[in-house]
Amino acid sequence: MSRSVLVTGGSGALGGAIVRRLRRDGDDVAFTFRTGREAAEALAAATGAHAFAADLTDAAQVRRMVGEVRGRLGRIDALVNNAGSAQALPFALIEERDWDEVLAANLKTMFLVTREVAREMVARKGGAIVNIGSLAGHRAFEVPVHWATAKAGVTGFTLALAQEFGRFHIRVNAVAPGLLDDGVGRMVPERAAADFVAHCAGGRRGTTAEVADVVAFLLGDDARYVNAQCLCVDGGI
Amino acid sequence: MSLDPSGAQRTYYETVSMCPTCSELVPGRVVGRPDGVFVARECPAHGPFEGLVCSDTAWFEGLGRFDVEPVRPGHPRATAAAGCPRDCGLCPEHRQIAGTAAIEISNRCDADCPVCLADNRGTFELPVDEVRAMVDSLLAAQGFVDALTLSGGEPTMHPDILEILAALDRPEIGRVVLDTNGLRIAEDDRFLDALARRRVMVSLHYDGSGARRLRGVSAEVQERALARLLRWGIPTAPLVLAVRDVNDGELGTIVASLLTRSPAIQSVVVSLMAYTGANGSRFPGDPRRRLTIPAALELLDGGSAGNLGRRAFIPLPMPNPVCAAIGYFLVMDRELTPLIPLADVDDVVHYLRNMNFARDDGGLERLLRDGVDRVYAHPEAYPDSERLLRKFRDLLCTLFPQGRPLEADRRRAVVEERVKVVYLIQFMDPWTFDSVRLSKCSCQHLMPDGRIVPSCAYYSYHRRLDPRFAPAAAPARGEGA
Repeated sequence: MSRSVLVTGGSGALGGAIVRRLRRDGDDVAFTFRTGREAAEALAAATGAHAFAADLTDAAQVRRMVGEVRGRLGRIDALVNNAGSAQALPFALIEERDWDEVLAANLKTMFLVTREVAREMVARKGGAIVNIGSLAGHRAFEVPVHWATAKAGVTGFTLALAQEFGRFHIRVNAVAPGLLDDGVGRMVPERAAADFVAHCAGGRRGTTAEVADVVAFLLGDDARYVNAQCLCVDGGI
Repeated sequence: MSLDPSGAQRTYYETVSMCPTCSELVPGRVVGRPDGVFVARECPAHGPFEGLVCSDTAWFEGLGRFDVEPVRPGHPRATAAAGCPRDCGLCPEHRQIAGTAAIEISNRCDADCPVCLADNRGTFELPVDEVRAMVDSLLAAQGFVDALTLSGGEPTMHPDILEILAALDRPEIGRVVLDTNGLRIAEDDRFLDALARRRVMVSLHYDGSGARRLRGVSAEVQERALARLLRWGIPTAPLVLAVRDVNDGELGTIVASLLTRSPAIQSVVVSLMAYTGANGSRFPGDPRRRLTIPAALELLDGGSAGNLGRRAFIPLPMPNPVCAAIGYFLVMDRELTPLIPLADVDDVVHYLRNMNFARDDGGLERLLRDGVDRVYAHPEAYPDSERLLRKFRDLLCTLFPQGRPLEADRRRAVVEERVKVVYLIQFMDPWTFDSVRLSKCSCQHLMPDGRIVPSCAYYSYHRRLDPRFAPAAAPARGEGA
């Protein structure tokens, strides 16, 4: 039986790769988008996934969106919390509104969506959640401090939720990509990118497809004994 | 350095200078007094002369901080026998590679600028292959050059100008600059279409109300040429010639309005009058009262709300720091924010050492980051620091918009739109000729015979020895007898 999966932030580079990979596995997939309507519609048309527009920082919109997804898919077996955004600002230029915005886009969205989706997982006593973090939440990198803070928060969110939901047989894991060749990775200056590659055992940037493969693994039965983990997909740093 | 017995004058160094009347080379001294720094010399035939080098003695005496260790030429083309500037080629005594190399691709011109540094007799047009060979020869010696300037004569009159530009589109040349009076650009749409497809920056003469007196063309023609370059989106660096008592009162207004006018204007060059060349040596005015860089900076300050003043500039570490100054400006919402005052001067000097144009090597980004941190850490030192930080924030948010990263080329274009450069340059002429200063010159002319000659030596000494400018030289093709 195919799974029903909700992927947040599906219109971006990594979200799109995850949607494509899950569709290739035969999953029934819904994804959300906020600004990239054209990309979202193209992805939906290309993959047969279902696109839903929502501002995930707004609890009412999240509730409406999850209701619509359930109406379309019937149920939600698995959730990929991928939505987020970044600002390339040094610490001196981060304003209060930037801090609030980036933490909301990367963490509050994760909380609100999970709160709505997990209700039926708890009731059903089963499910899988994968949260997208970043290597920058674990190691020292030249990245915006508010974004790294949010990505470090993903790890805490994952660990505590896995502990709390363990008794409901809901696995909660995180994936922490290193530098990728698309998405946020395209905002990294060439000099910093070269520095990453020089310290990467794999000797190159990763691809969004390689991260999507790991997400698919963590959602599947092959990972049934993998829980409360944060898997770094970084080529070996 | 030595003081005269009265203590009112000090001698910084001995040099070789030139008689402004007969152009003979004569021994000279660079001396400082409270009223400025001068090259003093005495011609056996025409008596003593002094030429003003710098109107601010303290500025001159502070230049040591900017006098960085040069990059020496690897392959001298001449021997050091007769002494500077006779041995040019370059000779082993020359201390600096070319930052800007210039090729006079013809000596035909459709204008007759009263200030012209050249000598437009219509006697030659360099074939494309010869231009290519001259550049090959330069690059074989030094591998890379920040800028290659095509001048003349009027280079846009060269029948193969577009082929020459295509031949120079190579990675070892930072930028190709086309130095023009703008007459063709003001009229020829097809030429502009072709220029827009080439990798070129146009250095357009743009002199404000002084256009007619200085260039013999009207300010309206210069303005028309500029407007058309901008309409075609061609990178443009207006070249403003600044002359005492001609257009010095409007310098600040001209430069400030150019910097905020269009994304296509990436830099503005203010060139201070040099009294040399066929026409320039006869231009009316007193070379001893000439504009020098510190005085020009004071003038820039007026008309620019104080944003283009001295604190916004530093002497350019390459070439000799007495020859040029540079300022960086953030342009947002038609406001100019000088960036030099945000930086540690020694860091800027380190970054700019031995280059004429900023390179895309992360150095400028580091300087900006340091500047941001400095304003953040010392808000009391920067008026309106919160607003200043917000400007940088907005710039970065433009460069890195959320959710849709810009391609690197587009990011570079945004930086060029928002971060502008102003250069002040001061060529030497027979009044200020100084072989010691010349020995660190990084603006160098390429000769068809493979020699490389510092531009100031060419303008004031070597051009008259160049057989292409001999009275009996044959006219160029297309020229009447």
